[in-house]
Amino acid sequence: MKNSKKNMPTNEVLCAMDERRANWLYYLYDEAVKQGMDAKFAEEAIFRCGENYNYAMLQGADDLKAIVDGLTATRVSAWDINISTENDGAVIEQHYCPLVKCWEKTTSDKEKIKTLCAISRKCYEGIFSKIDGFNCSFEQTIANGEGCCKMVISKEKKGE
Amino acid sequence: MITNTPSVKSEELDICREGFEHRAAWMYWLLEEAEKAGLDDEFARKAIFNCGCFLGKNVTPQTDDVVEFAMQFTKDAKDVYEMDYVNVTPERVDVEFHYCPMLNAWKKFTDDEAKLARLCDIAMCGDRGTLSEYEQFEFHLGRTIADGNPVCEVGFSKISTNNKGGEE
Repeated sequence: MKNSKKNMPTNEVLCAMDERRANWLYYLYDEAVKQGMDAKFAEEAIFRCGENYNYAMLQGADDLKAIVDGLTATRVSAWDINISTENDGAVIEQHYCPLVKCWEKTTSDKEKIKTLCAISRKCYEGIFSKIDGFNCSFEQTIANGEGCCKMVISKEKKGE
Repeated sequence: MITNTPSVKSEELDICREGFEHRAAWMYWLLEEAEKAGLDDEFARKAIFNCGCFLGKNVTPQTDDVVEFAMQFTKDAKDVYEMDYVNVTPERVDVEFHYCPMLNAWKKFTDDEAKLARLCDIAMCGDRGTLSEYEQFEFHLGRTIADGNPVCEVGFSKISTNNKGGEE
């Protein structure tokens, strides 16, 4: 499968970087748990990262197409992503997760992998907390054994 | 005064640098929240050291040749960090990094230069961990961009005595 953009790093390079990030999360979480912490501190941390880090790919993304493109463009091939968009929202299905791949190398504890995945997904919640008009949620995840990660982006209902 | 500006740019490098920045950003906020909950840096130093050990056990080449090790170890980050190999001998390799994407990420969250130098030193525990997996090699860290030097000075050498572990 080829990348959708020209002049892209290879999928191998992209996934290696994603695995490395997952590896750092794994050990930082692991060491904090040894000190008596639970997942809440890490969920808050990754949410705040999504909220505060101005992702280059999302700069100027103010409509649905730009948001979806910003979230996925560099990883469409590496993460084996399919996208379907409608007027009011989009569904992003990801069939490969280098983060889960990384955690499987360090633990066989499926519950721990689910926890690490839930922590990581907080990044998207943080990102969407800064995007007016849209919400995101996950209906399936690879970490939960559901075959693919299914992210649903929908228009924010008034009053939410 | 920290100066950290890339001199080589391309779309491919931007994407790679964003990958390194993203990891640094997660680290930053995990440390922030851990500190709020009362943990000090020691937990992070141990954690990142363990990340490096994982790399040394599973990813980096098993070799006695310090040049081969250094070239493989730095291969994927060479252009991202704008590395110069300033000394390459069969006994030792010295590398200067002219740009750091991780520092660039942290600078988006804080201007506190003492904190930036601290974060850099915690991140370097990864390299210390990787090198700890090699009985025959020693890791050397000199001045860094995060502590105000124009470049990061990193070295890898063959151990010349029975005593391991000297950083300049």
